[in-house]
Amino acid sequence: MASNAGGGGGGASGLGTRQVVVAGVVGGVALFLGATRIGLIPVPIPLIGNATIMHIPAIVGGVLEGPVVGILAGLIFGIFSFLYAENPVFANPVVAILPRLLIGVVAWVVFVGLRRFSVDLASVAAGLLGSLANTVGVVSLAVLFGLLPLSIVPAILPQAIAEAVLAAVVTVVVVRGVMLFRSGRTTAPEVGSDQERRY
Amino acid sequence: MLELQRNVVFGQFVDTGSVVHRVDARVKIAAAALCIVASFLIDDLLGFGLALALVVGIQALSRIPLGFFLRGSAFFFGFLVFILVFQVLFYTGEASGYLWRWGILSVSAEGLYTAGVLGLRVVFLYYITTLLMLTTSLVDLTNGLELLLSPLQKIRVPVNELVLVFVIAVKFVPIFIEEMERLARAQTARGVPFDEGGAVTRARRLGRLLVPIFINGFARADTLTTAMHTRSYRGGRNRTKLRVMKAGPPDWLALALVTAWMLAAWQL
Repeated sequence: MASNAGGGGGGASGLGTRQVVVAGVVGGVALFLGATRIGLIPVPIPLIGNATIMHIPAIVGGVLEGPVVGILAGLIFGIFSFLYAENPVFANPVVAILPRLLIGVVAWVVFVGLRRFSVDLASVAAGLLGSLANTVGVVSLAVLFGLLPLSIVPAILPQAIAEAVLAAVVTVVVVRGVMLFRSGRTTAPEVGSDQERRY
Repeated sequence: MLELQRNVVFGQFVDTGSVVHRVDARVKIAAAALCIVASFLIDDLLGFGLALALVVGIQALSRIPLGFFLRGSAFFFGFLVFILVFQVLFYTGEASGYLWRWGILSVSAEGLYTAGVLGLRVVFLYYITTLLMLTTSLVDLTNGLELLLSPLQKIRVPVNELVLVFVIAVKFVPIFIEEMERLARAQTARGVPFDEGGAVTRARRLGRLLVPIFINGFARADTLTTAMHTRSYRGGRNRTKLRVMKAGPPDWLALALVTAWMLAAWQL
């Protein structure tokens, strides 16, 4: 675990308060997407499971708060998809959890690398590559473990592309939205009742 | 779409005050972890039959109706059956004889058996996890997990913080569900139909709900961070507990029973 002393007033070792909270919240979005099944989009031939958008929180977490938050959000996604595996492929902790840790890291690296050109471009690239990291990691490990035949790879491509495009679209809007929100208001937003809040 | 809350069992705790509820949380977590490990070692129908029998027994003891496990899981099982049919049809291992064959598609006894074992493994994992969540309150789950993982603190793993990440994630699920319902209602009131359209249209509409959920989530994270800072949160190290967990002989007996049963299911 990365030592981030003083990051948001954290302890001598370990995670800062802010990282803990944000990782929890984006992990919560992942769990919410899984528990309500909103994040699992049925596809005609679900060879590697439904098309998912549960990896988007890990991408967003990685982009906005750094690799540690990305890893933690990916970990929550991975554990969920392991324990609530619908597809026997994910009933294997290595396939379900390990590739998911990389999603946020890849997204963060790409975002930081491209940020100086354009934030939007960097978000799109982070969404695409973070999503591909998930697909490539899961499929290659599943093939390695003999859970999927190699010949299946071309059949997975359309789903992989769809997931990546969806992730790119959502990441760019969320990153822009959160940055806008942060630039305008730096204090806690809940002054009125919940219903009065602007969306 | 609008009535999400009724169908989501995830993270619910149902207190029936049964024997299972009163077992020390650490023992329950350890037992669940054992069962999860066992689900990888067991690879025949007899073993899974035995293992499932134990879990069904525990569920009966817990007095939680089976409906809680089945509610909202129609999708889950439908999807599982679908996947298993694929597993059977595209079975590539050794097969002694085919019951049916057409091109690369085939049905063999071995294919059916493998699919059956895979399916049971998935159901077993789901069952164990759901049972643990339904019978253990989040507070007990947190404390138990922290205590079980506390040896890792010696190698500077921030156990308290990691557990807190999971707690926040689980706690935020109902908040997001509520928010999603409100957003969906607000959009519906403006004439956005959520229950119509093909996969692409639905996926695009999802973006409209997902973005406010994220932005709101980050706003809440800011608030929560401030709230924790003002209360001087410094991780949970050296914190004492009002309620100290005590595992008595019955708890150890329960753990021993689960261990023995899973060993038997594996070896038989």
